Amino acid sequence: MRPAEATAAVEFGHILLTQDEAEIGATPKDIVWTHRSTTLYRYRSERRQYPVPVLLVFALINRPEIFDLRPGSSFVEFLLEQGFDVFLLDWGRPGDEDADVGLDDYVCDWLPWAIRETLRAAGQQELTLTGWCIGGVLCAMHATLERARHVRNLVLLTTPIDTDGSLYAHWVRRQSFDVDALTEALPVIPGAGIDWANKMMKPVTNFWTTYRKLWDDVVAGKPRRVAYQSMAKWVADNPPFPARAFREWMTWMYKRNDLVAGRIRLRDRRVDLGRIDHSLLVVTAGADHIAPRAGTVPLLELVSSRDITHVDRPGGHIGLMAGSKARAEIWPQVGDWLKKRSYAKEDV
Amino acid sequence: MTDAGARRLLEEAEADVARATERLVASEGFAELLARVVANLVALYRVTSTALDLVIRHLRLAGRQDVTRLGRQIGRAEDKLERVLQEVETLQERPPAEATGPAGRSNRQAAVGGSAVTALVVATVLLVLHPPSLSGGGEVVALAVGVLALVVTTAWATLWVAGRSKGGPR
Repeated sequence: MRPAEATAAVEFGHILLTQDEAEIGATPKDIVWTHRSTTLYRYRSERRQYPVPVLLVFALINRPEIFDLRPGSSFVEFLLEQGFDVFLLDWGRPGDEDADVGLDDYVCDWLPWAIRETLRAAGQQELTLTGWCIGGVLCAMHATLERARHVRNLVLLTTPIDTDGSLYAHWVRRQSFDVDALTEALPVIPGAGIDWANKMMKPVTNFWTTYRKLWDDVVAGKPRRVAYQSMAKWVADNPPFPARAFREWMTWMYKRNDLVAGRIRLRDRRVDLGRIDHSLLVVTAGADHIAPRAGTVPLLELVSSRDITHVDRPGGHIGLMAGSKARAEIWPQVGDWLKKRSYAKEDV
Repeated sequence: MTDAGARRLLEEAEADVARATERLVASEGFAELLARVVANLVALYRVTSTALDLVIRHLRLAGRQDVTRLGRQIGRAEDKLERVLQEVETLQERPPAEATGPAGRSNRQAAVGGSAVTALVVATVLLVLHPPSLSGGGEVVALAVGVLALVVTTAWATLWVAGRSKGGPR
């Protein structure tokens, strides 16, 4: 080994070993409301210009800090700079005691309660609901149940809707994958297990190429330490998934594809995507293997909204909104779309 | 072979392996294997967890299940508390001057109706108990004034009592 490579190896090891020290989700924020493990935050800003607040809702796997990954590469920071009043709903880290928490709790209770608190804090009647991945599905479900009451705009980022043909469906849509047995045995599904399954969808890319590229950068003397560490830290942080919610998610979405068929019922109310009549922005990523574009596009035909915008860009499930190109490409499009729809009604 | 050539070959090989593994994980065989492995892990977890719980219980110690049970009760209590809190806040946010709204108007209409019914009943009773002789105009006028005074007083008293028994601001 040459001296330069030995130095690079030390640097490489140091980057990997200290990734937990990376600071993510650093934009200053205040707690507005808490309930069980759920917390609603409001980001501090002196530039609020648009009255309609934006509520960000992330998935039940991984943490919502991806919205605010690091200074200079933060969607939250971007929205604040544009003059929006930004709130973040953090589902927290469910424990064994949350085993009986189901999708109905998220959609029918906790999300509307968070919306209520957002509106109270902002002093407004309507908001923009922005969901990403599973968070997008929760938001869409909510929009079908609480039709046009407080949600003015609905933004869905890389959201799975029709799962036919997806790799997940291929894995679990078989009798031998017994999701009932799994969720009876485990009160919460370990996040690490779900993360492993996600990574197995592209094993070489996730288990090898990521590190190989980092090594190349280190050898070339230009390691992107902060960018790598912040993303790696976020990827490795996987909260558990409550058992009942996991069973419902896997069964309804992947085993039976119930959402697109309108067969899901939450507390005796049918989740009918046709009831979505809000201004709708759907963002898909061309290389998304978790929520493929083909599985999101059917939503555009199902909703009854008149104001629909579909933005499709090259990129992955997470990279599209949090990658290095997001700030220049996708965020301005989202920001412009929001600006036109975030005025008080009397000003329009 | 130059370094650049070797690197290019390595990257091509990496891309080929990546495509091959993606085909592999999308195969029936892998999906079936994954399902079996998950089932085995779940069974293993269940056996281990049950055994550990038994050991802890026989040591007379609070185990994970006991802590979980308490946590679940706290969670449910918090759910109920949140609902109560929301009801309270909704009541606080309700405008206080409800009497000026449609409900206030219906209250006033009810009061007028109540007065009319009371007046009719009292006048009928008086007429039956003390039928007028119609012998003199003065007596008729006196009787009419007396009846009117009695009716108004009784109606007012009835409404006042009814309002008190409801106990509310209305």
